[in-house]
This record gives sequence, structure tokens and C-alpha cells, in this order.
Amino acid sequence: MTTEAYIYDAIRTPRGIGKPGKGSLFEVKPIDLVTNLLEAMKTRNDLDTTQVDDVIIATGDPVNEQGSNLAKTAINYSSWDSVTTGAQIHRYCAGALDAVNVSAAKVMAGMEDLVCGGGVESLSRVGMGASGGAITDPAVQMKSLFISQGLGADLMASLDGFTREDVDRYALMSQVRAAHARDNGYFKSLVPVVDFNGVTILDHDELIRATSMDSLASLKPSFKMFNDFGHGDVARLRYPQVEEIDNIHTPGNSSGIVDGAGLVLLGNKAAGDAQGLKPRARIVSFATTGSEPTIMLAGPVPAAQKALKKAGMTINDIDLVELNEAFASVVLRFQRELNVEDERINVNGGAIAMGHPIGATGAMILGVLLDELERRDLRTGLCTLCAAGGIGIATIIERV
Amino acid sequence: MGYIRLEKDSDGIIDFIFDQPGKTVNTMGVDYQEAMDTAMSEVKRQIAEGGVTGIYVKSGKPKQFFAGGDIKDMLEMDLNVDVKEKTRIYNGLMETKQPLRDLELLGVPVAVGINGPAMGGGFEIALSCHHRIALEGVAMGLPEAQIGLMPGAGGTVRLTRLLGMQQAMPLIAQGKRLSASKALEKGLIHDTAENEEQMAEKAKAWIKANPDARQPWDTDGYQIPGGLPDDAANQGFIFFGPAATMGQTKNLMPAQNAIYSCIVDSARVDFDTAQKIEGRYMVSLLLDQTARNMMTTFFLQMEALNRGANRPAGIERTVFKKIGILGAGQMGAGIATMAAQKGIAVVIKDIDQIHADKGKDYAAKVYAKNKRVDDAQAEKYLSLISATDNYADLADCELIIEAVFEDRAIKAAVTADTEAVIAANAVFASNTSALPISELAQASTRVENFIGMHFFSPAEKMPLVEIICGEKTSDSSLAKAFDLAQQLGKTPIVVNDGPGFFTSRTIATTISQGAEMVTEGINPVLIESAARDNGAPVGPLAAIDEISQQTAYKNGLQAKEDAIAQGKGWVETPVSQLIDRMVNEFDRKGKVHGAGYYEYPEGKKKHIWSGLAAAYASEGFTDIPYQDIKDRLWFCQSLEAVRCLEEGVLRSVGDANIGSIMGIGFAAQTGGVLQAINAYGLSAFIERARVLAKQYGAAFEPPQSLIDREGRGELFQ
Repeated sequence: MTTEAYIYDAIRTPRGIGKPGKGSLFEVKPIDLVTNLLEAMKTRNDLDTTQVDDVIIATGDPVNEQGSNLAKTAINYSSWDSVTTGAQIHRYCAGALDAVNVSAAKVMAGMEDLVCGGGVESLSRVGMGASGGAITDPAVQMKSLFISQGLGADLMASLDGFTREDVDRYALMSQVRAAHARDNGYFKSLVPVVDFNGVTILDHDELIRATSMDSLASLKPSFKMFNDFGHGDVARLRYPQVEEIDNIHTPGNSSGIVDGAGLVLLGNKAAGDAQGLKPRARIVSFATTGSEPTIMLAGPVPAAQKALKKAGMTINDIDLVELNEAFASVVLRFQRELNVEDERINVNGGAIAMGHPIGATGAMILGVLLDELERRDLRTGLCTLCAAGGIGIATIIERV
Repeated sequence: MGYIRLEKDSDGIIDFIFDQPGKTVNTMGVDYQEAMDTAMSEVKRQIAEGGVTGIYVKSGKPKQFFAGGDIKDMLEMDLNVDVKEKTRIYNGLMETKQPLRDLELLGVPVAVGINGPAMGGGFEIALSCHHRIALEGVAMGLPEAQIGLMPGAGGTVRLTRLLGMQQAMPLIAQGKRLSASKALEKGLIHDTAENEEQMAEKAKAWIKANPDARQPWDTDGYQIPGGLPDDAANQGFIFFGPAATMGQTKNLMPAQNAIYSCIVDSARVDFDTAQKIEGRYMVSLLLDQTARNMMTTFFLQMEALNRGANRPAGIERTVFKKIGILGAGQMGAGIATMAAQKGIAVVIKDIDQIHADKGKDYAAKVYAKNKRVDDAQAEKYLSLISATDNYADLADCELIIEAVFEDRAIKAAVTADTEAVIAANAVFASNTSALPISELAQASTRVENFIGMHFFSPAEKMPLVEIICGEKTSDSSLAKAFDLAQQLGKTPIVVNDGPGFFTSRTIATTISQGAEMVTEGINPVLIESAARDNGAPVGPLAAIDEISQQTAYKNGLQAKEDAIAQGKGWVETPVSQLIDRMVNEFDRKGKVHGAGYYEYPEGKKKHIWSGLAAAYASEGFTDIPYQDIKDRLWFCQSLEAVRCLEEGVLRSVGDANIGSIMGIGFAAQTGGVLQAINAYGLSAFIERARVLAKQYGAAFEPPQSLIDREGRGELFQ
């Protein structure tokens, strides 16, 4: 018999354009993104931090300013009590949701009472791929048939038969929905990033931009270069049925490069009661799964299925889905495979409009999901992401 | 006429002239901002129109370039402001930076002619120019850290990019002032000139020769010298540097922390982002109490002091050519050493030639150790010092400093013997550290010429002189003592007479508290650490070790004798009893005797003598809150200063603040012994003092004048 794990709060920073000298969060060190959320979590909930057992923070590139167990370093640097410990995890784009899941698992196991899970990524300061790593080691590449992830998205769309127009239409919807949600104040979980004086540095998602089918259509494919430089040939070694990969993904229909952080507070009933906290939702189930690593983006469907099965539910039992918009084709495949109509998925836009701060996104979209379930007074939600290496992750929550 | 004049010459070079109306020096206040915005739009308009070949930035003030930020404006800012106001301040700072950024990006070469001191904001303006020329001998630098601030108009960012992190750090964090030649050597300026005409010629020639000039940091591929924070070359700087800074400041100086952080943070990002980061750190310091304390004391009050607020008006300044010193001990010799360095002839008189010569030997040793004094200079200085055992040699000295033993009989004897030979208008100054001047003056036949000049040991290094006016000391004598102190390069404070005057009397209270806490059985290590964590350079126990328990014991006996002689009665205190035991029972008579509160093992670091615990804490140390130990050590001093002010020993708040920091090691970040009360809040201070009085004795009872002052809502100003 497991203990119930509740979500008491889920907050996120705004997403700043993740380019040096361009984005508002470029001046903010990753640790300050984390401490901004730690301080906000403490203040919003009048939290006695001595009662929080652990903080788990995911990062896509846990090196340099994002290295050395950023979670524990941030706790000691913040006003939190140093009895709270910290850990850093890495599961590519699935990291922050995994941090939430691992936190939930600790609570469910009865070993810990209050735990935070989340993630941070400063793509402007640390940059994608800063940690290098085994995935691009030549021997590894050759044996595992590694290709660029974006080309994987193009490959998947080619296999699924999605066209440039399909993905652009989806992208436009993401922009329109995100702008609408922003303008109507739907992003309740958003906490402005402030400096050490309390002066606001950024209080809104700054990547959302007005666009049209025409302007989306004018954008150049992002991954043709990878296709032409050999990754296309590698892809066809795995998928001989593909005659030519159609390079349909562009900056307009792929997730944007941004900086940001997300943090979720989870705990059991008694620990929440002791702090006077009201549970917002419970964790119903979660799952991770691996899928074919050359495409590497097909994980969400099997992960969602695995989580649904664990929960004894079907996709029809889910009121709203948040699927990270790594690439438009990832969402289109999910919708087709699981028969999820537009009205139930990413209803406030996603990473195509607002950006994808790799290690942080999972926690961010879980907060977006919970905010929207509350706003619509719906009950169940599914949050899922694809990640490098073919990883898929999914979490099902239910409001209480 | 406006603050900035623009005058275009026939070559198309615009003279960009700072000339703040109604001021002798240019400052960076509100009118600067407005003038700068207007001038920059006009310059941009003329450039767009065509025919502008360059900009020559200069000052319209003779021998004054630009003084920097308007500190009076800054002091008027409210400290406790909401986020909205902080945001406004931040935006204001960014607006101040913008025209300087625009200046270096105008697309035409910009040269600057530094014709006088360029400090702080003034030097930040210069750093925004492509080519910097200074008149030989002028001083420049970014001294903001000395008043708890940092360069906030792009100076931190630009200097870091110009010199690299490790080179920029000491210049900014220590607020170093550099001469033009040193600045040239360090690469802060590009050229020097002999006069303003030559400077203008050089600047304009450079403009003509460099139409495509731009700042190094705006040049493609430019890399910060010395590398980036993550480079191997900076490993020590990143890993050990912050600890070294904290070791020096005891983590009590927010400016030094902000500067360190800002230099590293700014090196990691592009120029414009770096400007934002600098702005944010600057806001934090502008709204910081420490900066407020230091601006008040080291700028406002120090300026008043140096200007001669304490010096009687209408008396002509005396430039001393020859002075005499009685007593060739360390103090007398120290004073002689620096007087000779300032070109003053000195006669050192002691009881015999052997003793007198020792004074001159001391000077020779100090010069030999000083790297800035070469052999020829040392010889010149030594030629100004003569040692004698003959009073007659003092005959033509304009002022005598008496630095003999603290013994009334000896002092009286040398006073009479000296007055017998010196001119009728020569000043006689006693360097006593505690004996009332009016009492010593009883030995004098010219009491109006008799004054106290209390130097601090070692006199050649310590920056303060406490001038003590006796009851009958004349204004003319005071003015002369004041002039000599300034001629010696010292900062003079002026106080009225009384036992221990201001400084000795005040430091005695913390020394007493330290000793009292020892007798209460409090861990001596905690006492010393508490002093350190307050920001004091030495703990109260180490201080007695330096003076020596033996001396303290003798002074105590003298005080006792005086008190009884004057019919005042005498009560033994825990402190006098401790000193008595240290000298007579434990034979620990001070550092020079090899043993005091500390052990002095040969070749090793000193450490607290375990016998103290055995004598006063045999059952274990008495446990009181660490904050109480800290507060006891400084509250007593601030309270004593209030009493000094109340009794008229102190004549001004500035004397108290500056005297306490420069003379007796009161923590600089507090702004001094009375400013510390302002910062704490008068009512909170009174409340805390009463709590301390209840627990630790009447010494902490707040004086009536403090309570009245609080009632009036008046700060110490």
C-alpha cells in the first residue's frame, strides 16, 4: 500500500529568449533561476523549509554554471534551511518531469514527506550540448545509428506522412493559443524573475510572436544541413522504406531556444496539513519508456500508454493533455495514434510558441496543465515529453 | 550657460566641454544627466548632418576634470524603498550609462583630455572615450569602493574589459588613485601631455589619424586580457580570490563583495548585458547602510575636516620649517621620521646623546625598509634630522612635540627646560595619550602656547592626530598644531580636554569590556573573534598585549594616585584586578615581555594562554550569546562617545567618527562610533543599551543626551 503523493504547488519562471545578448534572462545565472523559484515557493506557501526533505533539479547540460549539483548549491545559497538536501538529475528533455516523478516516488514509498522536483536550463549561458558526452562518440554513433534530433523529427513526419503545411498549421495554433493564454492571465504558475534587489528582470514569456501561415511557410528548413551531411544516409540505414526525408521542420514549427526553470512541491497528506497547505492534485501514475533511438522522438505514445495502464485508465479518461512541442510532428503523431483531438491537447500553446528550456520543461508544462485543469474545473491531466535517446515520459495527475 | 558646451573647429572636431555652472568642479548629478542627453542628441544630429570628424572631450574648469557622482544627492536617497522605487533607481542608472555608451559608438573618433583629477564618474567618462590623454601629474581612478560604492556608470565593465579581471580587481576594489604616469604604464590612458595646449594638439592629431577608432571591446574578436572566468589561468582568482577578499573585509564590506561578483559576472556576458549586471549591483550598494555610513564619514565629514572646519578662522597658515621633539623613543622617532620626509628639519632631544641617536637610527631603519624611499632620498631626509642632548639646540624650533614618559614630574621638568630656550611664540605640544592638557600646562609659563598633539603608534604610519585644547590654549596655537598635522600628512581631529580626551577614553571602554568578560569566565577566543567580526583590526586582549599589561598596570597606578590626590576616591574594578594578577601573580606583562593574554611561541602563531581559562573558567566557560559579546565591545564605545559629546570633550560628530576609525580601530563600515548609532537607529540602540545595562552593568546605561536626542528625532550629524 503506497502513500498518496500530492502536488501542493507548481511554479515556473517566464521563458526568456535563449540567445546571448538577446534574451532577458541571459544576464541571469542558472543558479539564480533556481533560487528565484526556491524563494517564491517558500514565500507563496509560507513554507517551513526545514520540513522539505529533498530538492531534485534536472538540467540538460549539468556542466559549468549548471554543474556541481546545482540543487544543493542553490539551497545553500538561498534562504532555505540547509537541512534540505539536493540532487541533480539528467534525463535530457524528460528531466524535470522525471524529477517530479522521482519526488513523487519518494513520497509514495513513505520514505520522504515533502520533496521538490523541477529543472533549470540556461541555453543562452551554458548552451545546448555543452556537456559533450557519450552520445556523439564516434563508436557509439556508428553502433547506435545516431542522427540529429531535428532530422529525427523530419524522419518521423516523413514516415507518418505529415506535410510542411500540417506542421505549420499546428505551429500557428500554438502561437495563437499561447498569446491568448498570456493575454488572459492563464499562466498562474508563472513567477517573475527578479534580481537581488527585487527588481523584475522578466515577467512574461518573451518568445511568443505573432505569425501567419505565410510567414511560417517562408522559413527555411532547419535540419536539411544535417540530412545532407550524412545523417540522412544514416537514417535510411534504419528506415530503408524512406526514399527521401522531407525537411519540414523550421524554427517556426520546432520548439524555441529559451532559458527558464520550473519547480513542483509534492508531499504526503500529513506533511501538507502540518504546513497548512491545500493539495491541488494527486499523482495518479507515471512512466518512462524507451523507443527507437534513431528517431528518438516517438516516446510519448508508449510512455502515455504505460502510465494509463498503470492507472487503469484509457486516454478517454484524460481531460487535458500537455505534450511538449519539441517538434510539431511529435504532437501530430501523438494525436493520431491516441486519437486526441486539438481541443484536449496543449490548449494554451507550448514550446513552439514559448520555447523549450530542455531540463526545465517537464515541470513547467505540469504547472501549465494543473493551472488549466483548475481554470476549466476539469479533473484529470496527462503530461508527457519525448527526450533524446528515445526516452518517453508521462505523468497522470488528478485534481483533488 | 549650459553644463556642456559644444564648439566645432575648422577641422570638424567638436570640443565637448564639461563646465557645470556655479561649481568649481564638475559632478555627475541631475543636471549632468539632462545636459548629457541634450548634448548627445545635438552631437548625433551634427554627425548625421555631416562634416564632424571627431569629438574632443574636455573640462572647462581650470585644472579640474571631473569629480564624479554627486554624493550629497546619493545621501539624500531614502534607504528603505519599495521595489517600484528600486526599479526607478535601476532605470535611472541605465539612463546614466546610455549617453556614455552612445559616445563610444558615435562612429567618429573620441579623444579626451584629462586636465585635472578624474575620479569616479569623471574617470568613467574618460573610459568611454577611445583615446585618453592626461596632463602629467594629474590623479585618476575609481575610488568609489572607499565609500562603500562601486563604479556604476560603466566603469566596472569597461575597466574589466580593458585590463582583464585580475588587473581590474584591485584598482576597483581598493579604489586606487593613480598618477598619470602610473595610469599610462597600466594602460588606462594612452598618452600624457605637458600642458592643455599640447594635450589638445595631441588629441586632435590622434583624431585625424584614426577616423575608424573604436573601443577594444567593440572590435571583432576582442578577448578580455587574462581570459574568462572558466579559463585555467583564472582558477586561483575564482577559487581563492573571494576568500581572500572576505579575509580582508571580514565579509563586512558589501561593496568589495559586489565588485568581485560584478567583475566576474560581467566578464561572462556581452557588453550591454554586463552594463545591466553592473547596474543591479550598484543599486544594491546605493541602498546599503554600509555605503551610507562610509559616504557620510569618509566623504562629507572628512571633507569638512580637511577643509579646516576645526581650524580657527582668520589665522594665517603656518608652514613649518623646523620642529623639535622631546624623547627619542618609538613615538618621538616616528614623528621625526615622517617630518623629515615632509621636508621639515627636526631636532630630537633626549636625556643623552646615545638615546637621542637611537631616534635617528630608527628613522634610518624605517627609510631603509621603505621601498619608495631610495638611498639618496634617505640621505636627504636624515640630513634634516639632528639628535642632541642639549636643550639649546631647540632654540629656533617653531613647535615642540613632547614625547617623553607618561610621568607628570618628567613632563613638567622638560616643559620648563624647553620653554627656557624656545621662542616666546613657539608652540609646546604634548603627545600624552591620556593626561589632561590643562593639568600638564600648569608646568608651563606660556599656557596659551600649550596644546596636546596625540599621535598614534607607529606614528609614521597611523593617519590620525588628536589635537587637544587645554583650558587656556589660544586659537593661534590650535591653528599651528592643525597646520603641522596637515603638513605631516595626517588627519587632525580637535577635541577639548579631559582624562583620556576622546580616543583613549573611548578605546578604554572596549578594553575594559574585554577584560571584564575574561573575569566573567567568557571564552577569550570568542571575545577576540567578536571584536574581529565587528570589524575591529585587533581584539581587546591583543590590544593590551601590544600596549603591555605592565604599562597598563603603571597607568592604572598613576590614575589611582591622581584620583586619590584629587580627593576623588578610588574603586578597584575587575579590570584593574585582572591586570594586577597578570603582572604580579602570573608574570604575564605583555607581548614585549614574551607573555600576555596570548602565548607567543617562537616561530609560531600566537594563541590564547590557557591559564586564563584555568584562572577564570575552571568549571567551564560562561555561556552568553555571541551577539551580546559583540555588542558589549562596541556599544560601550559608542556610549562613551555620546558622553564625550555631552560633556563637550567632542566638538563635532565628524571628529568622533573619523577619530574612532582612524585612531582606535573602530570598524570602518559603521562610519564611526556615532554614525554606528544612526545606522542602528537611535531608539533601537537605546533599547538595546538598556538590555545590556540590565545584564552587564551600568556602563551601558544610555546617557540622557542620547535619550533627548532620540526624543527630538535627531541623528548624530
